[in-house]
Amino acid sequence: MSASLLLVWAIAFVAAGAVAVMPDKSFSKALGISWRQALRVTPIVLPAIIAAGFLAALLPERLIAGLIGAESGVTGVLAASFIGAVIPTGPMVVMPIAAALLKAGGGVPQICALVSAWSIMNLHRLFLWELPMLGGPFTWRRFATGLLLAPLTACVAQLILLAG
Amino acid sequence: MNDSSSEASSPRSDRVNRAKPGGGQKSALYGFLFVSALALASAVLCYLIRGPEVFAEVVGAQGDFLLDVIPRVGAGIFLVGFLTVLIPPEPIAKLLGEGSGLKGLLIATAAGVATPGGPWVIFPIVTLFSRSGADLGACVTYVTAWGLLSFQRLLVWEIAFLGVDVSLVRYTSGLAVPIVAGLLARRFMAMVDGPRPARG
Repeated sequence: MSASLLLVWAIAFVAAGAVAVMPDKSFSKALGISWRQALRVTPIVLPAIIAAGFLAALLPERLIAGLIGAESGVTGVLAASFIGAVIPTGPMVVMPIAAALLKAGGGVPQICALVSAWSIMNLHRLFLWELPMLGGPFTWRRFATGLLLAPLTACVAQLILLAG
Repeated sequence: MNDSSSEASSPRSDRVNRAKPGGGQKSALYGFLFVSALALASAVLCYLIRGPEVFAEVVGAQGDFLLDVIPRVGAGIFLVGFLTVLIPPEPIAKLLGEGSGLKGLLIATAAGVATPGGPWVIFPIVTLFSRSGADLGACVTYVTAWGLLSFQRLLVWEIAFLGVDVSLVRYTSGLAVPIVAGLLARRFMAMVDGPRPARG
């Protein structure tokens, strides 16, 4: 169990304790909200976990390193953004992958695009968490903003490299 | 401000409400069907392309992942209920609401940078923000800032693997993105939902 998970459970228990001493059936109201959230989240989280595992096994690693080299330019940035969006993992896996691709010859702007795209448009997180918790209309609108902005971070990274 | 409060039952504000985090029964059903289809297709492809041994390995790893995820999902589900009841909506609506402008987006950015933990923390918080009256732009900015600029992730994961130089270039390249994303979301909203009444 990670430290941040313990912290979140601790906050949840403190919040529950505070709600318990509030008047007007606040506690059952809070449980009602949580119950509706559970009904919305659970049916999507379970198949999403299954999909994420199989998609990770289908990832072709050697092909990727070739695609996003330092000389790959805009095409490489777009490819890196796409890869960042579809890598189905958390930071404990995506950062080592990014580091390996960097060592294998990936360009810095391309790696920036990959990490940025993973950060804001990761489909795994989108289907596992955002869609079940926040619903379709919000999720698609937020995703649309990332579609434009993740590749742009590579351009900014290139400018920083040229200036520095 | 404008007269938007007087059009609470118009089609435009119905659409606005639907675009708010929380979603409806319908989008939950579509999500379930889509993700289930994705799971089935990827399972079949994995078995055909990678063979039965890799398939069995993945199934075992998924069991571990499930045990890892259940306490996180549970924490998020409890948090959303208790915090919604506990935290009064008025300050959130004032700081992050539709009229909060650029200042609201800056506050949302700072909140996103400072929030520790993974998606199981962030998305329940967005649900809470939205229920309390934060607008779409502020919610988008918050999620984007957490994703791109989370301080905890920079320190714990990114610098550890990519090194200080590359990490700082990556981090700096994303500094303006949450604000731009929030502004885009507000514009996008206006485009999808028709022109807003002119502001004075």
